[in-house]
Amino acid sequence: LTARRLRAPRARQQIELLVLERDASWGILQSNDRDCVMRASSKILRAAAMAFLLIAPASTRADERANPQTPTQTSVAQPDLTVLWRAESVLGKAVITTAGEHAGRVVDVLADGSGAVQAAVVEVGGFLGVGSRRVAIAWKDLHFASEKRDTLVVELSRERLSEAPEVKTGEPVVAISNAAKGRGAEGAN
Amino acid sequence: MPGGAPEPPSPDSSENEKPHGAPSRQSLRGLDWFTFFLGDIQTGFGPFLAVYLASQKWTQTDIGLVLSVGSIAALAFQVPGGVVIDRARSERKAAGGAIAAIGASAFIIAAWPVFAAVAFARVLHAAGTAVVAPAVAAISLGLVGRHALATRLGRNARFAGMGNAVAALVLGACGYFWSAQAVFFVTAMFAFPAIAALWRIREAEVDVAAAHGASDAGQETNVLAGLSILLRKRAFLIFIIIIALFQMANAPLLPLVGSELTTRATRWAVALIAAAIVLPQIVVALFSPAVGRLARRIGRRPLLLAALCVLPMRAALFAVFDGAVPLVVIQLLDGLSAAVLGVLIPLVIADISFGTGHFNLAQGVMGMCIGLAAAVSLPAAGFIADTFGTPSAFVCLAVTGALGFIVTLTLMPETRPKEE
Repeated sequence: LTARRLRAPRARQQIELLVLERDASWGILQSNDRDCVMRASSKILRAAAMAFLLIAPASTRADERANPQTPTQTSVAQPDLTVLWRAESVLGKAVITTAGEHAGRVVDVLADGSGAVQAAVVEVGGFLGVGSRRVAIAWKDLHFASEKRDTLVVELSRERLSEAPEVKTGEPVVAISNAAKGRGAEGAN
Repeated sequence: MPGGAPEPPSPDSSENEKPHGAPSRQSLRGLDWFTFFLGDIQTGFGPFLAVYLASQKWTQTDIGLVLSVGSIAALAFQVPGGVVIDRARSERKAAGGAIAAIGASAFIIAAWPVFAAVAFARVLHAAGTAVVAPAVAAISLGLVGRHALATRLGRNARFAGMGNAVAALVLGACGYFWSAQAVFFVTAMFAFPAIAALWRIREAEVDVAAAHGASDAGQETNVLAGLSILLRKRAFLIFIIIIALFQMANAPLLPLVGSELTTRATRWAVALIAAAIVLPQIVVALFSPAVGRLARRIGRRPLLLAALCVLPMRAALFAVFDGAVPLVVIQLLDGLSAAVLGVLIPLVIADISFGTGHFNLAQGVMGMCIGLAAAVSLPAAGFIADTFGTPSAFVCLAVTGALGFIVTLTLMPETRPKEE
């Protein structure tokens, strides 16, 4: 595993982008937002909190680091702290279609080289774990269903999700998106 | 039992079939429901565990790691589990402890989904499964004796099939409509009726020596001696190869079909996959008693040939037909093979190992080989499906199954003892 640390000093956001060695095209995003008041679970590094959702890191600067295990800590003290009142973790959240049908569950989030989130990997279908498929959905086509934020809505039909190309380790990811909204997201790398 | 009184199956085993008369109705009913709830308790630990852990915000890397820990433990415990049952003075207590361990494992997974706890629970589950799986056949053998084993195993397979079908429906509905976590709490609850059923079996009616596959009470050799006896039996080695080939061809079929169904039948995919899981189990429940009777009347070999003939046909049909409903109909054939193997695996092992006192060691060796076969073939089939397409994977699995048929046809001897 190699790790790249991206820092957005103004927002005091530290995002660790873990890039799998055999699969350099996409990675698991884990944000270590220890300053953020509402994320108790962020202490567990593996519970990837996606609190940077609502504030885009304005100027990001990447520097290479050898040790992926050490949580990023040494940020410059900034006077402007951001309280992410409206941010919520997405990993493990159920996904429904706009028609209200059960579609699947978010199992991963993919980011590009600059750390910008491109797509969510959603496990769709299946009964007792048999027959489920992992598909990538363009990030812009996902939003929370309500103020409760326990469910995500995908602006795609269930047919589109089932037909979507499967996400496989070691291969370029093809994310599906709502073409009607423009800006197709192809190949998240 | 056509053909008169039980006789020694081979020269090295003296007669000692049933020293204390027929088992009571209460014990037999207890064994029925024990196999039923055993089918229930194992369902949640399958591929569903990955779904549950994903819902608990586990990363895919951690899920893969904890599943590997469980699979490796399951392989490693198979043989020791058999040895434990061969050594046990009370099969019932050993099985009860194993069920309690599996129930505790489900509870830990549900209540405390952090890495260390789930990894521990997986190891606990692997150990429990390795003990309880041979224990069912051992208790059956100890209870009814060798002459009635075939029919009893047929009945066991019927109740296990019903248990699997009910569990898939109940737990699947639980996971779909309620929560993934609830599935593991319900699984943990299944341990109670399982143990209650086990305790209905009267300890005194289980002949411990027979349960170990020994022909008389004092007979005991150590594990290495037992292994060397078993591995020198040609029929045992051939049977292991056949079952391993069957498993290699069979294990990847359901995941591949499930994945196809999800792509093909969007709206009804969940119901169709549920049908592809549940309906074959109903076929098992319907046919396995007949398999038990036939195994006595016409012998083991023809049934084994039938099961290994159906399997490659099924894989080949999957490669040819690609509609959603035909896939489910073809999957029904799985029930036929599963009914035959559910009865024949313990039965043929009993045929081969009786008189050695290492019946459960032999079951453990078989369990490990089945596990290894699945561990090799699942990723291999996945790779072939990804690279060359799903039909190619089906063809490869059909060829593997056909190879198993050829090995059975050319090398597998009839193991039915003369007196049946």
